[in-house]
Amino acid sequence: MTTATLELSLPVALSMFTDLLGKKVTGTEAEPTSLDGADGTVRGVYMADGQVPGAVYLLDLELAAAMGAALVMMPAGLVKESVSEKALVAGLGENSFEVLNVASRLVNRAGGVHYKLREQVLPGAPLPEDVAPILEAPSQRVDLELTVEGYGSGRLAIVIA
Amino acid sequence: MRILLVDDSKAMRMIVMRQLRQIGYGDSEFIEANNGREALDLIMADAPSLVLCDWNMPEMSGIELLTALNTNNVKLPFGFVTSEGTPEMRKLAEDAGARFLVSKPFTADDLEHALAGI
Repeated sequence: MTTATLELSLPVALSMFTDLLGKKVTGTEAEPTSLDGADGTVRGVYMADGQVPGAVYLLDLELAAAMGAALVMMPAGLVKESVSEKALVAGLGENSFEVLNVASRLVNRAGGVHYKLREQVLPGAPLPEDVAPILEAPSQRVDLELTVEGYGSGRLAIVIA
Repeated sequence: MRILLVDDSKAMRMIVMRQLRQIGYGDSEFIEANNGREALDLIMADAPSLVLCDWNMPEMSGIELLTALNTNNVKLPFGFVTSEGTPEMRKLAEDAGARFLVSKPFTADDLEHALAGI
């Protein structure tokens, strides 16, 4: 099965994150990386039309921490601390969850499959069994390299079943 | 305008506040509460112009807050911003006098639409 590039408007994505975080978010499309399953990756699992897992977002820890901290204007130093600890520290996990929740907009299309966040899988935690097949054989994928002004940079991969 | 945001997630309160600013409420004064109990105390002390409230919260839920306001005969524009919006919840909210229920994730446009006429 070949993986097509997920059609995503980069300007729309950057605008959405900028509006959400209150900090300028810049970025580019990037080559796929091995974020899948790597230590320190934060994963968002989305249900498709409430039935089965249909999409996974993968964020490296620096980006997840940067977005989580920027969302509530927490100190940028928490991003380095999170990377050092290989965990989202100081409540950044809750913030990251809300970012993932809102970010479902990037894949929801009017009249199309409706994706809704089911859970966030934190670094070190195993991916649920019903999600692994999506990463093994996705139909679509897009990778972005994003920078949250004043907080940090990292990779976001969006993978569709 | 004085707007009370009630949610046990600071992240969600920030999201709602940013979206309100995007749709023209930038000049408003925002006050925040972690749960229905805190919100009730704030409202009884000095009623805001509008309340945007989560449903599930510790200590006192959003619908319990709205019921308490009704019991105290406090009338003010009240809307729910919540994770789930089942038909049963919408019915409960409407029956208790809520002006709207917006379910997450929502856009600034969704909020603007919900707030139209308030």
